[in-house]
Amino acid sequence: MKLRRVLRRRQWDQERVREMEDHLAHEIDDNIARGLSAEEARRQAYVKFGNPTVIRERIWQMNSFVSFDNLWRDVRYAIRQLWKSPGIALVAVATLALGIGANTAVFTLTWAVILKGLPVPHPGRLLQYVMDNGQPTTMGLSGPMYDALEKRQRDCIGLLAWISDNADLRSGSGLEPVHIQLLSGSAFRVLEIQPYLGSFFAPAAETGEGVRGVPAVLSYDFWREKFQGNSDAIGQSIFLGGHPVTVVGVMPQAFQGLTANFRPAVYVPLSFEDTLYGQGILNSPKHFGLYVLGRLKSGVSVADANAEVESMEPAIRREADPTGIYLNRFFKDYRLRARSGRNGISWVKEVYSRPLLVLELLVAFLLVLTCLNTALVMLARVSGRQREYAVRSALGAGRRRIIAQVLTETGLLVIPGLAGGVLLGWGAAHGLITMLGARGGASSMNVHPNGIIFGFNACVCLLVAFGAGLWPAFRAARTDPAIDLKASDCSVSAKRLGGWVVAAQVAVSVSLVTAAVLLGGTLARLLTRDSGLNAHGTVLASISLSALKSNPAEKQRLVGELLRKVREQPGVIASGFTESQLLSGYSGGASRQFAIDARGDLHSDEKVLDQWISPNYFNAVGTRLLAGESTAPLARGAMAQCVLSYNLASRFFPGESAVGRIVYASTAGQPDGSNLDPKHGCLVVAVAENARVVSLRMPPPQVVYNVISPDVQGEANSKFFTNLGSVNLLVRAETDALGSAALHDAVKEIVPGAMEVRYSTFRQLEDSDLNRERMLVSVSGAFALLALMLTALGMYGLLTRTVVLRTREIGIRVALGAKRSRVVVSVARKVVIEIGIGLLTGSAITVFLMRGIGHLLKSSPSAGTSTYFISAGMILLVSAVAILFPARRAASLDPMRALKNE
Amino acid sequence: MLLGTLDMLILRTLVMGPAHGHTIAHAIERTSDEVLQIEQGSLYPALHRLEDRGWVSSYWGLSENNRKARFYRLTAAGRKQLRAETRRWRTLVEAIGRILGDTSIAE
Repeated sequence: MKLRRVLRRRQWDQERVREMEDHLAHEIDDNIARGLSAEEARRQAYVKFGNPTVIRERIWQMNSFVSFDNLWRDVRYAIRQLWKSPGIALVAVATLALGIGANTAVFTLTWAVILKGLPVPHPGRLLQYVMDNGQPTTMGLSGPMYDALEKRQRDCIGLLAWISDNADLRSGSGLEPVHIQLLSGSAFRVLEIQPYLGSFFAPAAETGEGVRGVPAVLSYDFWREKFQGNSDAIGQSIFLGGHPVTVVGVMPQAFQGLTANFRPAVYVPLSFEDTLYGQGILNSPKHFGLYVLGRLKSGVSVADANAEVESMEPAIRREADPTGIYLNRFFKDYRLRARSGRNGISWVKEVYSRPLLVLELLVAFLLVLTCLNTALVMLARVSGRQREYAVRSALGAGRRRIIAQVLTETGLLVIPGLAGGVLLGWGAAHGLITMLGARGGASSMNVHPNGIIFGFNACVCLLVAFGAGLWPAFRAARTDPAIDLKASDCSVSAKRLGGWVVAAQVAVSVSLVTAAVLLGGTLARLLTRDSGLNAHGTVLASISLSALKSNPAEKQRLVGELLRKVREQPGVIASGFTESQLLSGYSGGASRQFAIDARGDLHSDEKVLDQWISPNYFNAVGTRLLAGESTAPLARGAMAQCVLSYNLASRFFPGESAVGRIVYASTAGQPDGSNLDPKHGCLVVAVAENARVVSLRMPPPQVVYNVISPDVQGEANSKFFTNLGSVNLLVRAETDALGSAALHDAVKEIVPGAMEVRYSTFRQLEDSDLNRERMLVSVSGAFALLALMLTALGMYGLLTRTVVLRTREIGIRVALGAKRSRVVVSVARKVVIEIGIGLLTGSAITVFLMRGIGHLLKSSPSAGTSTYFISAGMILLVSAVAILFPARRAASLDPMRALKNE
Repeated sequence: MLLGTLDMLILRTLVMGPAHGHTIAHAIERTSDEVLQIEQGSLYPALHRLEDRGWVSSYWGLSENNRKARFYRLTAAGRKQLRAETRRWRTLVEAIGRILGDTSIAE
């Protein structure tokens, strides 16, 4: 409406000019008709009409944005003002850039990890079904559970299931291992995606090989790379794990699989899993590798669906596992639950969403601090120009105009701050992603700049500008021309300078620093407390044995030879293996075991971790044996032997030695203690100290270490090696480098080239286990440093300005005989009081912040007062430095020069 | 002249039929027995505003002495507005009259 008028105002103006000319001509004609002379007729007509130009201007203004024209004037004026003191402007811009940069970095990550969602229509309507045990690890469903769930559920328009896997792909150019994802045929309908090229496989194809063989859909990237984006890829045959599949289509470019950062190259029907492995995984009640998504019907919420699945769970469990062996024994702690499936399965999200929310909280604090600093800068500028506002006000400028002018000036600081901040934050976000670490493939996470991220930051910026500018603006507008015009610049404003900004700054930064100190303390405690593992000189190689299929003899020979070979290398102290991943953060399924102690009492526990190790394992990882000796049965048919962790030994055999006693695995359907078949038991040969083998941040689990020697032939060994998918070879050497070299040499000599081997030192495992904590510590640490810097900068700026404004007063006082120390006290007194008040209010804010962090991390960080005193000390130290320079300047003022300096 | 009354006077003048600026100015002066002297130019911002609000519409035409002139015509909305304004004005005048009534007797 208004805009239309602006666009038409020129045309209208022309029209009005003609109209007014007509009017005047009319009037002149009338006047002449009344008998006036031509000259007089003209004069009288104009007198009667008024000034045509003024009238034109009035109409022009009716059609303009007056405020817009004013804004442009304000902007030009503000630029001139900022130009006068480029140093201060630069510091203010840099401050804002750092604050906004932090926000950009954290928000970019939050967006990519939590908010983005799968690239399908309405990802927010996707629902994920998982087996949940309250820990940040995700367990899928078994095939029978999926079937039972699909049959019963009413809240989704359909379900889909998938398995992520690896397979060797043979096409024209040779053999290469690729990621594949096996999808149920319903997937495309549930996800509502369309193929980029060709078609998808229909649900019918799921049931087996049709006329054209097993259909396969390629990922866009893989298609570009392997087939050069050629459309004749459709219909070609490729071989997955030696089985032929036919390419039928290409996925949309944005779609990169349902498991975050897994990026499969090929998608095949779910039924292909049986072709690939021939183990009937899909129908097995013990394989929980099926991930399930559904699309909610409209009007149904995630909570509704979760309530539904909770009510259905008992029936589903009964149907999927009638014997109850697996669900009730290994998955007793797990519950079937529904939750938002917006991101598919994302390991990164599971692990990092809470830490990221903590960082968002800290960023909010940092932004408040940035806001305060900008406010301080603006206050200083405003206070120095009281006279200018008084003049403007006296000349008729309204309050609104003055407020708008100050806000414009703040805005001008913020815009380059935003630009710099976004660039800075962008770099920082990439740094953070590399830091999230290799595990879970977070480093391959996709973050592109986009409108949402920029828009969010622009909004935050606007908020900061408004928050920082409003108070100074009102202060500027509250001018009393009668007083302010008479007063000299210097005397008015010193008192009005900072308000209570310094107190607020101290309060906010002390809580930020406390948070950082606390998080740092947590990490240090995790790293230094006794974990029962010794990282020094321990190196590990994870070797995938899947190429050996299920040939137990070959696997056993290979492992045995590796152990011997490694031990022969120079510098090696011990070598061993374990079947389980160490420090993976994932405890797997716990099992139920029982034992009968010397008094005949039965003890059973359902949270026992079963691990398979070689006799020398304890030496290799540095776990001390408290009693007995770790040995494997040497004779065929002898009873299995095991080592208990100390916590399990004292639970099963309280007050006695566990060595020589027997621990049994529970049998489904029979009460513990009724079946004492030695086949299900193992002889305890030693007790080991508690070790945090799952994660340094978790309490040490209760472990039964089953000792297996590759040098012994036997039924138990054969069973173990048949199921062994990968083995972790461990070596302890004098140094990490020696250990690493020993492992590399042995592997190179013994292991065939096609097998996948991954090396890592124990130190690296520890680091990646505590990645979450390390990220929190380094980011919050950076925030804390920034906070200290901003606070110091604010104080320094404020005091320096105070000294400048009070130069004359100080000069007079010194001239009249005031002591230097009195001068310093008078200058710094207010700031010191403010610091005190800031520290007091800060303690209250800190309590709230700590509570927030504790709530987000689901832990209660021990916010001891000592942590708070440490950070308060840091603030005081930094403040002292910030106060020192201006105070010295005040003390060393030469009264003669100060008084002349008018 | 009282604020806002000019609009009302213009609308009232246009009730007689379409007219151009010059006619409107003279009509107001004449009808009020030359009591209301307006600066003729101020008519135009007012007309512009009335047109913008949709109370009058305008077109180019020929005046009585064959000059080109822009004619203004009352719209239906303008008629309604005039009725409302007039009622408001009457109430106002009556109220003020009642207040002034006592003193005018004393006069």
